[in-house]
Amino acid sequence: MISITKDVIDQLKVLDQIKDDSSGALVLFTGSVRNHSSKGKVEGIFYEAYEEMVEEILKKIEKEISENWSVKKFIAILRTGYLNVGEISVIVGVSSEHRKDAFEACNYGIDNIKKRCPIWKKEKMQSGNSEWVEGVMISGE
Amino acid sequence: MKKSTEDRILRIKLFGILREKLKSNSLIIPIKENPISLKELRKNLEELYPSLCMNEINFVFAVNKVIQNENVKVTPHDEIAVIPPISGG
Repeated sequence: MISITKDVIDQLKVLDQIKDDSSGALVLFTGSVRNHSSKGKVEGIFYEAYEEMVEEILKKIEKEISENWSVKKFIAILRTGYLNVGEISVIVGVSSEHRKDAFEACNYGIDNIKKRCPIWKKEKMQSGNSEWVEGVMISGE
Repeated sequence: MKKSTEDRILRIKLFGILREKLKSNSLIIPIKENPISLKELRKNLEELYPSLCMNEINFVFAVNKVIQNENVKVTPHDEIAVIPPISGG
């Protein structure tokens, strides 16, 4: 299951959705808003995405994972809009029979989301300033 | 058959810092040739929007939701987006 949403990501719900009786391993990664950055103290982050393209890329990543690892369930959810410190912006969950597949597939999932999904962040600092986070050029297919 | 205006314009989606600089989610760019290469389109954008300082902000093009090199040609039927550097989810 993959999605991009403006709603709060419920990690316990995702944990429940990723559970599978035939799986002995479950890996869940959450990325959340830190209270600081290289620019100073952070109050929150605004996330913007090219949503239609993100959905296409998530589908490709899901397919690549199913082709390369023995995975029972895969979930990736990205959140857009303004998030406060501590809120979850991205979650990736994988269940598999054994832990090696779950760890590797989850790592591949989040790495590729970071490299390939067109998402931009604007930090709101406690000082009152807001700045776009310096990014890297998107990685093509 | 007479060409319509729609055959001579490209709609380009903008995101992040570029959307903010131009205060718009998209641009409408008139084109002289159809199809047009992304390389030519970049030149057109730089001529039409010098204030954008495109050279100071790196970007690549996505065509129909896929990153493309600038030899690729596009038409008004394609979904074109300008993708500035990304900062991840």
